[in-house]
Amino acid sequence: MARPIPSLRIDLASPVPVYRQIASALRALLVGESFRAGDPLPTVRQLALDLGINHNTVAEAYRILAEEGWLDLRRRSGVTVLPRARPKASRDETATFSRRLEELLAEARARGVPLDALRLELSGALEETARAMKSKEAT
Amino acid sequence: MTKTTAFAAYVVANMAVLPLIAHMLPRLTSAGLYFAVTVEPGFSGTAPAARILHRFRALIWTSFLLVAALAVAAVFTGRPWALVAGLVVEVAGTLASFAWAHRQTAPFAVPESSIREAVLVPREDADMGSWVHAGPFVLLGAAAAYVRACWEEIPARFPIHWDLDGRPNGWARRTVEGVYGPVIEGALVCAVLAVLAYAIRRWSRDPSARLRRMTLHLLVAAEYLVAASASLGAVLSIAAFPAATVFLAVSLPPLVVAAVLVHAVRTVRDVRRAEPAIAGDTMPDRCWKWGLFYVNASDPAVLVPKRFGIGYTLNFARPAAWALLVVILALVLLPLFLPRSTH
Repeated sequence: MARPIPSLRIDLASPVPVYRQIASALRALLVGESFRAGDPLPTVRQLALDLGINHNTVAEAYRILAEEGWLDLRRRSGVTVLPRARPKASRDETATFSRRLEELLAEARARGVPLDALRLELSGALEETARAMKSKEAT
Repeated sequence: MTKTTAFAAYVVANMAVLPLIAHMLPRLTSAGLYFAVTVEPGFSGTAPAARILHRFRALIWTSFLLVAALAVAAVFTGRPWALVAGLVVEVAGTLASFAWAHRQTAPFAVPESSIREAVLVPREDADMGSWVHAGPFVLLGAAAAYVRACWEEIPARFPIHWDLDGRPNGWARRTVEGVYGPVIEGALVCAVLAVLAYAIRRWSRDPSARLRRMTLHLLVAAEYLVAASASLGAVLSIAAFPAATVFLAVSLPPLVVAAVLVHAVRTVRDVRRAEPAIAGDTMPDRCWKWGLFYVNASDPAVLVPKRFGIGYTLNFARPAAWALLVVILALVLLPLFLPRSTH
């Protein structure tokens, strides 16, 4: 069965910098197995043209993901997805993510997002992640 | 039918091309655009949209009727300057009709979106390598070499243009510019087309990969057609082809162009109808001057799809767009400064 064509969506009005939005959205797609190792991604120039934003913004997002071991950036052959084993998070890293989650929850509550909606989103996202991890382990 | 009447009919038929294109264009743009204004995708089916379209078409055809009357009068009274004036009035009338429709649509514009979306698939333009642009130059080079080899056979004066009865009415002399002129001009036109293809491949944005590929294929086809016509023009200096053969050879390219254009228009219509509405317009209305000229410094694209019409337009905020314009204008205007040997 053909895989759906992955797409990326950013919001220029968001307080989150655009390069971080791109890196986060791409990371989510990579974690969610939307790409396989060796899959090509659009070049920096193409993605910048398609989104109508500066090349450096896209280059910065790609650089972050390359440093995390997700992407291989080569001048001639373009951008390709790398095979990447899931690392074991250290205690410090786990604590950092817990803190970020707490901050995000606090921000959501401060903006009046209903608790039920948050619970639904969070459990849905966790189930999706668990399903993806299980299917990866099975293959 | 007298010759004058036939010529008047020919002029009017040519003048009808512009209103005909303008008549069709509103139906060839994306569902989210109407007279170069960003609207809700279903807007074109509403009553206000139909009213604007109806009046726009009435305006362009009224202006055409006036201009056609002027052109017919110009032909029968022998005033060629009136033909040029008619052409100017026709273009101005079409632009004014568009400006009116654009202004009428503006109140229905949707607010600018901050959302941008892109598919994460590399482009497939690589199906046609850069080597494909070398072919026309090879053809022109071969024609030039052939003419050079047969230089002694070329008459001192040879026909290059014929009237409707097949009698020569334009001549060239056996000089470098007279014989190689068509090859040089053909090479310049091919160079313009190759530069355009390069710019579209490297610096353009088009939501439809199919239209982009079609444009590139059309440009390459045009290069080969121009090279073939120019090569034929050069070989005319040697071989005294019968006028009928020349007429057929010369009328073939316009027929091919017309057939290709019909195919292109149908493809554009099909693609525009099928394409999904894209989240977020990377080209906000405020960056379009009069809906025709795109000026957006924060957009890296040098060439973008036209909002009203088929093909691409320049992003005038990019220095590369001006450089491209200068290169193309230089190549187009260069023949005016080349020595002439025709009369």
